[in-house]
Amino acid sequence: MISLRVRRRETAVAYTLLTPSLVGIGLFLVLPVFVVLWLSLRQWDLVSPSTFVGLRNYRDILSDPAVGNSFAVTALFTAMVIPVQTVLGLGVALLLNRRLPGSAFFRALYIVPWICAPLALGVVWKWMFDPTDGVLNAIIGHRITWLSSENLALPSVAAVSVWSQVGYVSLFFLAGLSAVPGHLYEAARIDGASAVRTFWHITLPLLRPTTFFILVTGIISSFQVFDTVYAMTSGGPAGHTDVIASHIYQEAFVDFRLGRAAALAVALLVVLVMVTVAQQLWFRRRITYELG
Amino acid sequence: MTTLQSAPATAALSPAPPARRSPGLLKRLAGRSTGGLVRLGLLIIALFWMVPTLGLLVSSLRKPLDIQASGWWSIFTAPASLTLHNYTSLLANPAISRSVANSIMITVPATLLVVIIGALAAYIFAWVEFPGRDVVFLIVVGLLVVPIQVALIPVTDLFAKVGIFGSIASVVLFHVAFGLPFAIFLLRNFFAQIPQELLEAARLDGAGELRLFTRVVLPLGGPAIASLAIFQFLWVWNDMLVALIFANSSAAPLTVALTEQTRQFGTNIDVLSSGAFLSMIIPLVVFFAFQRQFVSGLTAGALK
Repeated sequence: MISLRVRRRETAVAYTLLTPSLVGIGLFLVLPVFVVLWLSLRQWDLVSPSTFVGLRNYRDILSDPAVGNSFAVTALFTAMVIPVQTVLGLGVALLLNRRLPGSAFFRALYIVPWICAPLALGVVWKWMFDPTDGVLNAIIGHRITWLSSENLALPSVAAVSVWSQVGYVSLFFLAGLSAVPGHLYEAARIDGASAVRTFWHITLPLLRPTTFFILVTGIISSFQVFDTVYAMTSGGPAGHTDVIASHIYQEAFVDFRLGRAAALAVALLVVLVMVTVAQQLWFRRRITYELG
Repeated sequence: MTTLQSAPATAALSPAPPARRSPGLLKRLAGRSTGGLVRLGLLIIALFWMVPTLGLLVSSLRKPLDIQASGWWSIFTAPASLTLHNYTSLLANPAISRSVANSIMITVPATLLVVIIGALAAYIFAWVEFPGRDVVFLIVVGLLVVPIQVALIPVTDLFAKVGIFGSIASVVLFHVAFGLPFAIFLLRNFFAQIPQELLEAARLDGAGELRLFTRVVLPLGGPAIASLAIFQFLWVWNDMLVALIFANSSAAPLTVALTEQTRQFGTNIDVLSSGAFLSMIIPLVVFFAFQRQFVSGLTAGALK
């Protein structure tokens, strides 16, 4: 039985050592949530004192078609990127997992775009998508205006995003695959299970924690996509790639309407919390296999 | 005996057991052709993944006039003279050369601080019992969901009031704070797997928490710490949004300086290609230097 005094001293030590983390997190993550909530009820231009306007910012953004467009564009972007990068990433991981000679080289190659700055890659791809000098049109022999076309701009940006993430996603799946106990495959082989059945009934269920992690973090970051869009289209043409992060940036740091920007940030936070909680609930029912 | 001893180590690394060679010739041929197909698939994807970066590298080594005249792929048919001219002129630009120094001065402390502070916190959450531990840990992990956009405006205001807005320090502080929840999440899961007996033994020897941390936990946590350091390094080095807002022109890192260049001079590809490639070299070197630790850190930390 540990005496009360020892326990109290341990608690003091624990909180002392936690202080730098808790102060940093409190100051830059927790406090801002409350400040943004407070700011979203005010009108402010960063220079003159702010004034209380009640829920007007929320009424404004709810009735503003540009805001609706931004959320729709962001959701569409996420819907294009996440399934494709997850399936491709899993596919690449399964291929790499065959451990053929050269696997390490391929793995390294696929991860390269993830290591590079999204901004730099966006700049490179903008140049490759260029209607007159770009390599893409040189290959297909047509003059397609990829990034200034209302229908093609968002899919083009999404494709670049997928391209840059697949290697990263596959790295996580590879790590997940290496944790699947080999005796399960052995048992399935002895039972005569086909490769497809083995995949559906052993590999995929055991990869659920990995899939969960990849989906949750992937969706959170794809809702905040900024650099790639900024480099490739700057939100154009006519708002067709105006993702919510660009919109908030524009409202806050270009137009200096900080109350409205704060209300948008709150809306983004609410959406992300809802999406994350929904995934948590969905996966909690399904993560039934525990790895010992 | 030797095979038995090395078995656990290799089992931990190798994924699916390799399919046993079947004796039939037909089956063996089929096996080889799927191997060939897999390799072909990997190769096609690889081409698609490599070409843009390769094109960038080649273009960055061509003269501006050549770039204007023909695509980079034409060097394979009509070998042209390659030159480092773009790089020398890029680095002669004071805005760019300073931004490279700024990138380093932002990224190195932001990475070191997150690793040190995060590891300390992760150790406490994993191995010291104190009231409120689980609740605080859950809150910290839950904060992973907070988008960066929520913090930008309040922190701008905070930095302005303290008087550090625009400085390198402001960018570093923001990156450290936003890196901490992930750092604590990743490292705690890894540290929690350290055998309890090791810690108990050290405690019985009278070691305090700080000593346990530096003598037992840190040495054993190598791979997870390496993978965290890589994550954080890449995030900070590649970031543009945070620096775009908090850094003034004398504190701007390479990503922001590159953006300025494109905004000012449009798409003059000699500056862009060499600048973009410059921004990629350091993270590529860092990543591949620690690749092995990165992967084993992922296996143990993030997925359990």
